[in-house]
Amino acid sequence: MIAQYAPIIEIQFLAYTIPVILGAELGIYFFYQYRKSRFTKLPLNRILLSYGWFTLFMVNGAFFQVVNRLMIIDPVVKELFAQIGFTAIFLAPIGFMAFILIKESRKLINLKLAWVITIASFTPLVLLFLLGSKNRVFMASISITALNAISVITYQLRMIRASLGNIHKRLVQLFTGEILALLALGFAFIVVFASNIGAPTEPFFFTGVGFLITGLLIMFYASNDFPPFYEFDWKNNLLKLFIIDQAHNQFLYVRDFSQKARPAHASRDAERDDLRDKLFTGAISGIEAMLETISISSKQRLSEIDQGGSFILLDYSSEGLPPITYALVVTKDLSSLRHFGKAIKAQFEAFFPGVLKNLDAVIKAGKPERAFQSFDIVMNSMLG
Amino acid sequence: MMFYTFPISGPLRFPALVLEWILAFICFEVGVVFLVKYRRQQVSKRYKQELGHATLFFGFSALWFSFIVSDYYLSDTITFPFLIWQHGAPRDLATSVGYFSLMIGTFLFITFIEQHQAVIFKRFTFTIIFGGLIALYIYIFFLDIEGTTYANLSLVAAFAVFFLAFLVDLSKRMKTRRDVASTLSRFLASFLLLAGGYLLTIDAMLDVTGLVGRVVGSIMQLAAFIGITILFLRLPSFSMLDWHKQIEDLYVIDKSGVCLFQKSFTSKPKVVDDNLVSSAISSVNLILKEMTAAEEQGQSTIKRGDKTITMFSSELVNGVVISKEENYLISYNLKNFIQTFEAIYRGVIATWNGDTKAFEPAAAMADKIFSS
Repeated sequence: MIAQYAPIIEIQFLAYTIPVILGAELGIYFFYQYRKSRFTKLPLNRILLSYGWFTLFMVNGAFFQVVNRLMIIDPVVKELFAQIGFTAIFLAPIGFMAFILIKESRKLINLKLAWVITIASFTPLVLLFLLGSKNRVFMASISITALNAISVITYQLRMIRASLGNIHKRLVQLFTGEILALLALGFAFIVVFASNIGAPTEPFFFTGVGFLITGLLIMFYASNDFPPFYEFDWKNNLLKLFIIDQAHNQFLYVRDFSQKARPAHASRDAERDDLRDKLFTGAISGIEAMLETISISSKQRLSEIDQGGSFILLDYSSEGLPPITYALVVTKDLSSLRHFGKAIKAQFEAFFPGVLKNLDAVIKAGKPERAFQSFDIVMNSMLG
Repeated sequence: MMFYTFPISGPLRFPALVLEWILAFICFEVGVVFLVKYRRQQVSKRYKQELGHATLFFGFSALWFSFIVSDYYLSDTITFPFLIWQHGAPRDLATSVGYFSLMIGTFLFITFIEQHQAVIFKRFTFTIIFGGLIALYIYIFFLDIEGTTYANLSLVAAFAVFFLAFLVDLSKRMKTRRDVASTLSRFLASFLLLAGGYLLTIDAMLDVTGLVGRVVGSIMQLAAFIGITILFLRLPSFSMLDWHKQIEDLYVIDKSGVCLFQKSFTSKPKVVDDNLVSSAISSVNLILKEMTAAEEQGQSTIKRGDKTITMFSSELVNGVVISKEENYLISYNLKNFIQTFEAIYRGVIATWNGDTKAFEPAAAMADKIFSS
C-alpha cells in the first residue's frame, strides 16, 4: 500500500518530476540525434552521446536522492537509495568523457591525462559500496569526480572556442544550460546541510529545482534540430574561394582549398580547371543580369547556387565599397561554411580598406591579384 | 448525483496525482516544442498552424493543471451562496478555469488554421461557430457555475468535426496514398485512446470504477498524447505542405533553350516573353554546369532574394520552376513531371517542328501535379 504524504512533500516531489521528465527526454533526444546523424560518419558527433548520458544519469541520480530525503524512512532502504543515486551521479561525468576520449579530441584535451582522471573517477564508486555513503573517506574521494567534472567543462569550453556560427551558438547554449543545472547541485548540498541542522529546506530546494529546470530548458532549446557536428571537418568541404571585382570582371583573390597535386599527364584537365575558374569573373554578374532581365526578383542578389555535387555561397561587398562578389565553392551547405564566408568578407574588407577605396587605380596598374596576395596570411590564420 | 468526494484521498491518490502531473507537464512541453518550431521557421512568411498546435497543447496542459488543483486540493462541498453565484463549490470554479483555458487554446488553434485554409466551409466559419459557443458557455457559467455540461459537450462536438475535417485536408496534401491512410489511421487511433482515457477520468465514472479507473484513464491519455505528439512532429512543416502555393511559373525547355511548354500559376500579368525566359535560364544552366563541372543530368537550385529557381535537367528537356521558397517537394514533383513529360512526348520532341500546340495537353498534367 502506498502512503499518503503531506502536501509539502507531494509538491516537492511533483516539482522534481519536471527536471526528471526533461532530463529523460533530453537524454533520449540526444541519443536519437546521434542515431540520425550517424550517416555523416563524424567521430565528434559522439558529443551527442556524451550529452545524452550526462543528462540522463545526473538528473536521475539526483532524483533518487530527492526520493530518499522526502519519502524513505527505513535506514537500509535509505542507504540503498543513496548508493543508487550517488552511482548515477558519478557515472555522469565518467560516461561523458568515455564517449569523447577519441583521437579526434586530442586537439582539445590531453587524452592521456583525461583517461587517467576518468579511470580514477571510479574510486568514489568503489569506496561508496565498500564504506557506505556516510563515510568520510568516501566523502573526500568525491573530489576526484569534481576533477573529472572540471575536465568535462574544459573540454566543452575548448570546443566552443573551436566552433563557428550556428554550432558555436548551440554549444554556448548547451554549456550555459549545463552550468545552471550543475548550480542546482550546490543547492542540493545546502538542502542536505540545512536538513542536518534542522533548518527549513524548502526555499533552497525550490530555488535549486528552478535552476535545474531553467538549465534543462536552455539545453532543450539548444538541442532542437542540432546540426551534424562538422567542426574541425568543415574545412574538408571547402573547394574554392573567388573574390571578384564586378566592375572590371577581375579576380582580386583566388584560393584553391583542395590543393590537389596535378600529375603531368593531367595538364589538359588543369587547363580546363583554370578556364572554368576564369568563367567565375563574369559568370556571376552575367547570371544576375540574365535573371534581372527576366524579372526574377530584381531588387535582391543571388545568394546560393546548388549544382548537385557542389554549392556556391555568394556574398557581396558592404555599402560604400566598390562592387565585389565573394563566391565560396563548397561540397556541403553547412552553417559553419556560411559563417566562414561572412568572416572572409569581414576580414577582406577590414584588411584592405584603403586599397578597396582606390580599386580603380589598382586595376589600372595591372595584376590586382598581387595587391591582395597577402590575404593568404589572413586565410591561413582563419583556417588554423 | 455524485457519491465520490473530493479532494481525492486514499492509497492510489499519490500515483494518480503523479501521473496527471506528468500528463499536464508533457502537454505544456509539447506546446513549447511547437512554439519553438514556429519561431524557427526558415521561410519568408511564417505559417501560424504550428502556433495553433502550441495553443491547443497549452490549453490541454492548463486543463490538467486545473484538474490537479480542483480534484486533489479543493473541496466539492456546495455552499450557499458561493462568491457571485447562488450556490457552488471551490472545485467547480477551478474546473471551469481549466475548461475555459482549453476553450481559448482550441479557439486560437481553429483561428490560426483557418487563417491559412478553409476547412469544409468558407474560411473562419468554424472560428465564428466556436466563438459563439464560447460566448454561450460564458453566459451559462455566470448564470449557474454547475450548469455548463451541455455547453461543454457542444464545444467538444464542434471541435471534433473541425479536427476530423482538418486531418482529412492535411492528409490529402501528403505525397502518397499510403501516407494519407497511415496518417489518418494513426491519428484516429490516438484520438480514440485519448477519448477513452478521458471518459474514464470524468466524475460520473469515478463512482463506477473508483480511482483505479482514473489511473488507467490517465495512463491511456498519456500514451495518446505521446502518440499524437510523435505524429504531429513527424508531419512535414506546413510551409512544406503548402508547396503548391509557392509555385509561380513552370517551364519545359528543350536542350537548345526553346520553350516547349509554359504554365503560370499566378495571376500576375506577363511582362517578358516565354522564349526569352527559357533562353536566359538555359544559358544560366549551361554556365553553371561549366563553372562547377556538374553532370549533364540532375537537379540544381538558384536562390535570389525571395525567389528560387529549381531546375531539373533530363535527357531531352530541362524543367524549371520559379517559386517563392525552396522546397524539396517542388524538386520532387518537378522531376516526376519532367520524366513523365519526356516519356509521353519523346517521339514528338525528336521530330518537333516548332509548334508548341503539340505540348498543350501537358497543361492538365501540370495542373494535376502543381495546382493546389
